[in-house]
Amino acid sequence: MKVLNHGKRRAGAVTNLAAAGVAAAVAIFTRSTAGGMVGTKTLKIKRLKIRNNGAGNTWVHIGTGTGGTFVDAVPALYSISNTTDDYQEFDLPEVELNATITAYPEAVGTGSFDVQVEVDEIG
Amino acid sequence: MGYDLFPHKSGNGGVEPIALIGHNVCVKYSNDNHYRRVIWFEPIPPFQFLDIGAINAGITSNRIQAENLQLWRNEFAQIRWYPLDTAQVRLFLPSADGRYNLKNTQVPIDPTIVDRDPCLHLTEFFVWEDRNPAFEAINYTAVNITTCRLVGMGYRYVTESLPETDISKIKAGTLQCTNIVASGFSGKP
Repeated sequence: MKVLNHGKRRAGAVTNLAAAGVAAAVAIFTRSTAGGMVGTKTLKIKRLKIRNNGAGNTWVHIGTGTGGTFVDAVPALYSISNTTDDYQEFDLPEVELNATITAYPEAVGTGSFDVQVEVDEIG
Repeated sequence: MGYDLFPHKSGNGGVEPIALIGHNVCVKYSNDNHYRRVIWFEPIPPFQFLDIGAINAGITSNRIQAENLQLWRNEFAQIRWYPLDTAQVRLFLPSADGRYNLKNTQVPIDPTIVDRDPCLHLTEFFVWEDRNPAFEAINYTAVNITTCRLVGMGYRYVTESLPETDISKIKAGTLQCTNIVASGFSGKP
């Protein structure tokens, strides 16, 4: 019964980050807020895949909000050009978020990033 | 006649009903004894019955009424519960009457309850009609929390009144009756 406080594991869609900078932060997982839904949902990131499509070596930020409201959920992750990174549950702090998860790279060069996140949706 | 059903029963990890259809119960609320017979019941699966909301670090929330746990007339509910977020939560039933009381402490429930009491039998409380409980949460951490969600589960019972002859037999100890406490102690009913 320890699973009482666990959530439902869900994966977000593969999302392309085509532009650099915090103002260009893109939603990579939208928190459930349907009208009439009973309760409030929160999100814990359990897995993260980042594909660097020739965007150069740079930092990728994962958090909530965009522009001036962006807050990092975890420290920025360094991505090497033309590689794929896979962060699993034990790599990621148990940060609980009550907002849609967003991401942005600090640079894209002539490339872009594909990001996919898997979360525990709690509540 | 006895039944293997009683309050706060520690089952195989789940919540067992306190009574079945046809069983007699005495719902104790404040100074009243409500002698009733169960005529219908249904399970209430786990659901968020209250979100106390955001609480800053080290702050105690206001006492919030859990109106989602209200019932119709002649009904009572058996509820076990736990908090999802990092807070120590106190139960009041009714609002001015703290529950889980010792002489010097009102015992709170926090998210560790699901490990320490996996079937939640020590959290069980009963609601009579629309006399819902209220909850107060202490954010004991050094960070603000944005939600303070409480999840409950159990059973809802519909009852009918008992004839005086049956109540007399119950008082004489010759007819089965399960006593159910649905409020804090306020003197012998």
